[in-house]
Amino acid sequence: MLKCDNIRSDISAYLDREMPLWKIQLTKRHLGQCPACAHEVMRIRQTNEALHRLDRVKTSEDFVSEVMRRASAVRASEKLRTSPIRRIRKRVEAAMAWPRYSMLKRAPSFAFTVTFALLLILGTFATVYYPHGMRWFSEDAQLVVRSPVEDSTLVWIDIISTSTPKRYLSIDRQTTPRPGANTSNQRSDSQRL
Amino acid sequence: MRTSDEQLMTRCRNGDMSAFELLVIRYKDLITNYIHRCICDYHRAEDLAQETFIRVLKSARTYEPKCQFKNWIYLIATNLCRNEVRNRHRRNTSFLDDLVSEGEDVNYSSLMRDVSYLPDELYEKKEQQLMIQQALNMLPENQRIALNLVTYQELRYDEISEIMNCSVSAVKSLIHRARQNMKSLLIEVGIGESSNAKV
Repeated sequence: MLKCDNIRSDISAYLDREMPLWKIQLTKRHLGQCPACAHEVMRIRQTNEALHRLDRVKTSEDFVSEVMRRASAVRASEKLRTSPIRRIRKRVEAAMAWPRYSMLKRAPSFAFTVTFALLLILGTFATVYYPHGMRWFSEDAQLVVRSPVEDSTLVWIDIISTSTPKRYLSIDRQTTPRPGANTSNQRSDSQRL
Repeated sequence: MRTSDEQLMTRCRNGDMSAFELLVIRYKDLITNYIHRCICDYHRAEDLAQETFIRVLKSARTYEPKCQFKNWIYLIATNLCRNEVRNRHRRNTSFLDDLVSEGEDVNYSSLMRDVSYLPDELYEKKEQQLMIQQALNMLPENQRIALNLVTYQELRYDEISEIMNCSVSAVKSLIHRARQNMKSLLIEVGIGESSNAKV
């Protein structure tokens, strides 16, 4: 059984039939038994009736023609505002919107892939068209071959020059003999020198 | 078979002006009445109704038939009404300024200067209508809009909730409070005091 408070808060919904059927039936039963709630419903219903006493207004006869005149003006101004160049630009922008978004979204992986692909193409190109390396590489190789020959010539010149070998090593051994060293060996060294 | 509003709007989006004209014919009276109840100024209501249709046309390109066209057009009209009321408050002009001042003792005979040529019943009816309209205008804005939509436009609560961007239970509460307030206001001016209980 519904209480009076519940009924009174739902009177508007009851009058507008904005509640489930079972609740409408319960409300009806309650209103049959409760004069206070029935009086309240009557008051609200009278208020509704009073509101419906207001006359409806009618639009003027030239309302539609006036709206259509304004509408055609709006359409014309829209067409003027969008010049052919702007329209083409808009279409291009619309067509490029998805690739641009996609590129921005996948920029790092895209950059990596493009760099890798470029390097691969360059490597393939160099391998196919210059199988023995570039020209300047080969010139360097000739220089490298030549230079040892010239060096050897210089070394040969050094060899043929007459200069007595220095004896610093043997002199040191004579002046500072190690304690306990073999004297016979020392003697033989000095004789040899 | 009657073409639905949504189909007409889709045609209008593709540039069919005859579809737009059909929409205007269908909704002109509803929208004008709705705005007139909200702002209580016939000429301004007609202007705003025209503005509503122009806005419909302007936003036709972005229209997606997700919700009912009826709710959408009422939403546009409601926003225009709210702007109008706000602008009037800024200008410090109240409702019925062109008809009456919001004093306690309103001299209705001075409002309708040609009242002497009208029969008594018609005069009484006009007087009652004026008082009802005045009581309606004294309601808070949200309550007035909700009551207007349910009483004069006969919309369901869920449709009103879409237009007013609130829940159905909030709409239910708004309408209930609006009717309670209207009941008190009308009793004060002596309207709706008959004792015939119809359950």
